Amino acid sequence: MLTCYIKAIGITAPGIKNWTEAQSIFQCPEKHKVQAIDKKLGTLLPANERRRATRVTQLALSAAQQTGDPKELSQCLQIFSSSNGDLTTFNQISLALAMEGRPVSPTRFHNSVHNAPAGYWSIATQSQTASTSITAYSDSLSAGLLEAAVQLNSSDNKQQRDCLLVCYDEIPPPAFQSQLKVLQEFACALILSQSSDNALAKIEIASGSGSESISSLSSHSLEELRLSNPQAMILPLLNVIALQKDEAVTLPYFEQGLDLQITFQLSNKTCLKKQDNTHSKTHSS
Amino acid sequence: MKNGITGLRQNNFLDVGLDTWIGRVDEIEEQVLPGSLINYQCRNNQLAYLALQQDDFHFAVEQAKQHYGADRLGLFLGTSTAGILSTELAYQSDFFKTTGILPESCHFREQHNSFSITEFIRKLYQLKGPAQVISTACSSSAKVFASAARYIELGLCDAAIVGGVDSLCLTTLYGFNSLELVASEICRPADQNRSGLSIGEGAAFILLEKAERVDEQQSPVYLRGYGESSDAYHMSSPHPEGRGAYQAMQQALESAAMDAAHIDYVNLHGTATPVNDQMEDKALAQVFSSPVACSSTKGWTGHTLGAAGSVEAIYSALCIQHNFMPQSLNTLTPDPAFTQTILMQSSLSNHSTSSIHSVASNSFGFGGNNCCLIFGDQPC
Repeated sequence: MLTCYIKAIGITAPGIKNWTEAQSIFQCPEKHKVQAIDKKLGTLLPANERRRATRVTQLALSAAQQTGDPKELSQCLQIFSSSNGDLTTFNQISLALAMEGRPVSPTRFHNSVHNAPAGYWSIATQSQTASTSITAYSDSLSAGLLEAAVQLNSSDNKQQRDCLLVCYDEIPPPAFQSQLKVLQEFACALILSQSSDNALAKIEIASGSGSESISSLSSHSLEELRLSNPQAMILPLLNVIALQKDEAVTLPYFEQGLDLQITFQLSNKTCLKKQDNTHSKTHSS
Repeated sequence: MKNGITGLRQNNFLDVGLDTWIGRVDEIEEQVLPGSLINYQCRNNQLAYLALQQDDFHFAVEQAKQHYGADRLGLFLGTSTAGILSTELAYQSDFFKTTGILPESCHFREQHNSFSITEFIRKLYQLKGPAQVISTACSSSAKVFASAARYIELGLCDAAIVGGVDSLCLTTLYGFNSLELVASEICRPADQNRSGLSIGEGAAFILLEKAERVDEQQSPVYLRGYGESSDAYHMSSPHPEGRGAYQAMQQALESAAMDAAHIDYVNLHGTATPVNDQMEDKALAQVFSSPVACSSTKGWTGHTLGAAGSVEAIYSALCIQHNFMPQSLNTLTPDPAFTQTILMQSSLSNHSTSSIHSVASNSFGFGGNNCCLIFGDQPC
């Protein structure tokens, strides 16, 4: 079993702009309406990189940057997880490859790597820590969470760094939609820590007992969102954190699933509640 | 390798009209995946299947499964492009050009998606343990060693298959060409006139187990340490002073609890682009107080991208087991500005006791993603 503490949450999702909004929606789910995410997402990228960054990078970064001050975030270990990466860029490159002379754009080419959002993030925050971009297809969310918890708890994390986990997936281009049912964009970022100081919740992660018990949501609108993107499977976890009730959540992870026990027996619970209500960004400091 | 024979040839891949050399693997096209996994049939998985048939690997996996259990054997693989060639070729078809629909022979999940390689092998061996793909461009399959070692350390699995697979495709050939990083002549790592890389393909698999279970009779090689870092500089160019490369090597030495002086040989990232080789030399100069023996093996294989980390991990292991240091193949005149000892001839020691005890292997990728692995003939 792996234990870690959630320090901060960022979310960019249809009808949910940030963690503050998410909290009020989980408390009152009828408020939620699935609305397309803004076309223009503010990111902390420098002008040059902002021009070159694709939608999926902007999506990932918009959630990541909600979790705190860039200077502090630059000290975190970096885990990025996506089921399908940047198929929009793949589509553009492949269309160019089907043309006379095969004129592939160099910028598109470097954007095509799975770790492009992670690379842009490290440039934007000047973060020189280890950066790991992973995928496990429809189980990418849990694989990302496990990788983050493992890096956090490993003896090689000698400096006891916190870990930034960013989970994101775009809507694929039309050619892929018959094989790939991702209907909405979704990005979520968590700061995970070994320390309980200023934590939102404690989570204990263990292998599940079967994939048939994957957690769902009772609200129709939120459940629709959960099923619209592989990374949106994180919503039941966020729901429990928003409602602050000790509970277990099961996320998809191969045959067995991944069990998370969430608890709130934290010394600073009351002061956190106040902080959540007054800050647009929830963060440890 | 001992005879200095390159695996590179002048480009003859499909209708790719680029004047360059490639590391193309023979016999890929003849590989037929088992019937139940036929949807996974694509160049990348065929290449993986070809590699898995070597060195009694099937047998080693079956033994590990029996010993640990299928749910205790992890699978950690690296790739950058997986089987995207299948989709690229579909885009060239008249059917796609007229309908905008991918043909039914295109199986996105089983061929194109980066996880396809892991899912294929997971099904092939009926594994039930933790599994993931790390895709950080050209450091991908070096980083899987670090990931697997941590999973084993924390008890999430008892052993792991690690490795990397990347196969030739249009995106990487034309993409690196668009960045003017592809050489028209054969790649010449560390050469004063080096002009870029030769792209290769490769698959490499390693069974990683806890040190206490080794059989000393089999000359085991130990993963002594690893280091991972980010340049935070540029998407497709490394930091010119090798900032991140230095950090990765330094961390790897710390993790191995070793002094740089104890590294006998460095397997360089050594892509043969002007910028990479220069910055890597500068990074090495910061780590090693006296010049270290080093070479890139990309003169043999070309740059196998996401597979390079694992391919070169195997070379590093072979160096230790065979007491061998490979020359910098195709290098005519080492760059006079370089500070380290570029090996111009392979050395095979005759000593009965090994003199190559420890090897460091570097892998650096787009997005400024760096990894250094240290292997040794002794555990930590």
